[in-house]
Amino acid sequence: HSESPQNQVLTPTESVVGIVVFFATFFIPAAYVMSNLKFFKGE
Amino acid sequence: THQTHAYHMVNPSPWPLTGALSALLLTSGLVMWFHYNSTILLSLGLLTNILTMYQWWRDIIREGTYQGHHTPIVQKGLRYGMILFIVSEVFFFAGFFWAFYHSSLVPTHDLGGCWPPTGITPLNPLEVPLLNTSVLLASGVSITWAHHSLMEGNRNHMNQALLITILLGLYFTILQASEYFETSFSISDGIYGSTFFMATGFHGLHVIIGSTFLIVCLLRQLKFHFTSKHHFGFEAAAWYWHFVDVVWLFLYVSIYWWGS
Repeated sequence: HSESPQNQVLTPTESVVGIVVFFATFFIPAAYVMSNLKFFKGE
Repeated sequence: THQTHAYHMVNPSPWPLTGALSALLLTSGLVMWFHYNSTILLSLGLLTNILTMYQWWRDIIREGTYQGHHTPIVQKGLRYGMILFIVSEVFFFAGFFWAFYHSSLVPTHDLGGCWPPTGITPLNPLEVPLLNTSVLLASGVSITWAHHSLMEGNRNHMNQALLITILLGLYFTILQASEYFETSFSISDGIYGSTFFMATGFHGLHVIIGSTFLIVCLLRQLKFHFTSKHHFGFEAAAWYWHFVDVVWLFLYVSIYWWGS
């Protein structure tokens, strides 16, 4: 009754693009804040 | 291809990765908050964590409830997984109790050789903490009422009992928050404050997680996701809730009562 898993196999390029986008989304804002600490220190 | 076994062959999912990255953001965000009073990374961590939880749980509900992947053998695996997770949580709290008893059974000279340490005025265990104990014990009763109603197909009772359990959980959180404002000691006031807030704070976090788990169960129940025979999501939430309840009993007896 259930479909066979993963009907579409990703190419290596697609995987690389996906992983780069994911890591960049999380790490770029964090890296920006960490490298500009003095502007983010409150009080 | 035709599948000739009952196991769930999972599809690739990005949520473990986004969950791990958001956990990193949460920890660095907490450091930024504690040390620099900046909440940007923490907010980003909370946002990505909530987004991960929403999408991951949506996928699992789709697989288990609508696509029929949670066959009896898969449910057995889920049960083992939940049991092992709760066992790991038991050891997590055992560490805090170890720290507490290590410090309180033979208090050092620095503390005045007594427990509670000299200068510490502990909370009265017979006031709000006793009320909290009865609130959590009552919620343990109401979640059992909810489970039996679910198994007997009594939808109204299930909804009411589950709602009551959630309200009792929220009531506990409110009482515990108001109690924190009443303390004359802080987490940085030596070993008493450190062990007290570390243990009760992590317990409070687990109550909030358990309440979230139960709220998700109520939303799913309202959408008719549970049947009288197939409702492991609810059972896992109930196990977790009982675990949180038992941890509180140990906290109450050890830290609030004996420790005062």
